Amino acid sequence: MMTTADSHLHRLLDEAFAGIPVTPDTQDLKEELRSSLVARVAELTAQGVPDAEAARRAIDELGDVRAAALETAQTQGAKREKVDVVALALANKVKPKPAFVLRTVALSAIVAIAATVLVLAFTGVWDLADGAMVAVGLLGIALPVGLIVADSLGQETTSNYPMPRKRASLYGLAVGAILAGASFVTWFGFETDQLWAGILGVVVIVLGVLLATYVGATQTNRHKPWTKAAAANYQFHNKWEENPQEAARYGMYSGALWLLAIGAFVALSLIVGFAWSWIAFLVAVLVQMVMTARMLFGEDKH
Amino acid sequence: MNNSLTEPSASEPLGSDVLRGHTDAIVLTVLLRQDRYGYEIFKAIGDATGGEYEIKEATLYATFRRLVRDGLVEAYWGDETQGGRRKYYAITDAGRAYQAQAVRDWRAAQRILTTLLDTKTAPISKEQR
Repeated sequence: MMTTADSHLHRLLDEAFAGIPVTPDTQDLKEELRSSLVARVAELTAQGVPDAEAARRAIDELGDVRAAALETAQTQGAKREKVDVVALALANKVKPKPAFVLRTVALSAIVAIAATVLVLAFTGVWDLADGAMVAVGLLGIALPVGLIVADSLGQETTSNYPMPRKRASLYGLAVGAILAGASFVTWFGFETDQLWAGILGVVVIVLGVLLATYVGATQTNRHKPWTKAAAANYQFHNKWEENPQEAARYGMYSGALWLLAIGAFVALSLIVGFAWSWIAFLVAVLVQMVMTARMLFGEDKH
Repeated sequence: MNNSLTEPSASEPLGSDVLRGHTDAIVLTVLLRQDRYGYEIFKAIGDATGGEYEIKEATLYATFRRLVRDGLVEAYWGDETQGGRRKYYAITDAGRAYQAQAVRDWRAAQRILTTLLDTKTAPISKEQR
């Protein structure tokens, strides 16, 4: 619905923007101002202010529209200066807090000990009850790794602001849940009569993945402004950007490689058993890395 | 609360100068609880101070663009079917951290100025204005 006040408004807005370079940014500003002005004019005319007067007053209330438009045009049109990323990083350097480093080292030590215990138990060197192994998985791996994740995300770094406590905790919880679920599933893997452990494990893993998906999807920027400036200036050329077919080819090779790896894993498991079949995945990872190195960073043939 | 703000006649230039330096933090604070659009943010700032302090709306829109560029807020156009479309602003994690830092800085500055300007004991005399 177009009122006379609105048409006055569009004319006044066009006047304010006369001579301002038409860029996506200035157009965007103009549209934003227009929507605000239309709302304000409606308010004024409802109070009985005449149309032309309402449009005039709404624009005047806004302040210096031209200055804002000019500033927007200049910010966008400004030539990007060469940014010394190293100097910026040094200027913004944030040292890790000693208490955080201590916490992380202590928790990592717990994880390392727990992992060693589990390896010894799995290989049969150390005879450990199933319940004890699950407990080691939960308290020695899942809990400390979750805490490390939450703690590190809550730290300010040179390039990132600290994540809000709640969100960092949710990330930690998600990782902890996935590892805790894995502990139960592993138990079930060894003792197939403990069906409940398998089911519980899968449920907890699914919940963890859902939580991780949620926090990941709602994640907003936490880089510091200087990194944005540096990123905007940083021109990274890789072969895939210049040659999308290469990227597509890489994707197909990867798909084929992992299909082959899974097939080999199943076949080897049946023929020689679990003790050696995992080698299939190890080989696949190696091939993937070599493939990435050659296809993304390798010499150009042309 | 310092009552010098309620009498804009003499103290306004200084008062608004001090406040202008905090426009970014003020806008981020308004966005802490929910996403808002430009006019709403403008109104929220005016309402919060009972009209004592008003940022010019045009200045505000330039501020939004700077905040978006620095990654402290994200902007998106709303899907209103009635009336004009509105451009909403949402605070990011970086914005939250920036706002928290601004609050800490302000507390420190306030503490220092309270001591240095001796505002606890010295009365605000007419001549000083």
